[in-house]
Amino acid sequence: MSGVEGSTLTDVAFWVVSILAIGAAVMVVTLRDIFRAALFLALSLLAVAGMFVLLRAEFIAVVQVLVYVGAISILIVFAIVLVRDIPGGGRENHLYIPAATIAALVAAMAIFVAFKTDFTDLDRLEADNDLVAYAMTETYNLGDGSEVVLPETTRGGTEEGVFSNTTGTIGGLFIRDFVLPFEAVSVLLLAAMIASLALLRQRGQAS
Amino acid sequence: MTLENVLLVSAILFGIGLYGALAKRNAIMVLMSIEIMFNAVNVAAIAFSRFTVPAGLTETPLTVTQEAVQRAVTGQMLSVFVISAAAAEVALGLALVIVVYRRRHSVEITDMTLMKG
Repeated sequence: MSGVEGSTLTDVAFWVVSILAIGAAVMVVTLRDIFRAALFLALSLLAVAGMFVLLRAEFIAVVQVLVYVGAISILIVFAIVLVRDIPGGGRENHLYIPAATIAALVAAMAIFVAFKTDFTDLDRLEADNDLVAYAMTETYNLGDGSEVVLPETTRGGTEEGVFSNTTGTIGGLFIRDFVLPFEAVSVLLLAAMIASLALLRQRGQAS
Repeated sequence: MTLENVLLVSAILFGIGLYGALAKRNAIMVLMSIEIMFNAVNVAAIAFSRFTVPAGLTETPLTVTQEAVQRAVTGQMLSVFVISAAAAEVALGLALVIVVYRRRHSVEITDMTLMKG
């Protein structure tokens, strides 16, 4: 990934993945057959995992495939098979017009805020500043190597940027800065697991 | 691929999920729509992590310390926790759906009127 060619390739990949994710999500909420809707949900989640790869979050992409595509989709398919309620399918209730209005308003508001806010953009900051300054930095260099001129130490071979070693950084953060949320999430998952088992235990069944 | 474009996709996904969560009758469909909304939030968090500059990094020259790198991936940490919470939520939600189906032989949300006064 270097220069203009790499960035246009990334753009094309981004739009393909975005259209796939949005199209599959639309199929999920419009299809009548709930089983097919679950399969399209898996496709949408997979497309979002591809988007994570493009956003330099490889670890999250792997977690997405493992947890969402691998576990949650299968769980939903299992639930649909257990609760075979085809006539109920994917029907809307009688309030679907207000629901569509509210959803459209919320999305429009989010889009408006996204385009009107002046974010301090990493790429723009890099483009505005003198790139010679990078040659002086020794430890890391800001940028992912696709859009900026890299200093001598990092030009060939390995990409040394902010996002060059996210998995290691995330692992370090889990056991240092985020250790309390990490433990809280483990307790949450344990509680959810025990609660699911307790709910689904048949009454009067021998334990 | 700019921040605005990624946020546009995220907002559209969130809107689709919100419509499904509000308009669908089937409880499993509602859960699936909520998953789409969780995903939209994750996309936004990771886009902010990728494109915006962490606080204290805007001065030049842009030397990056280990601390700044850790601050830059905070958005990805957030999405890890969101994914964990979503996994717990969907497991518990589907358990509740199956319990309701066993008792009332329906998973329609409009039939769940047990607590109606």
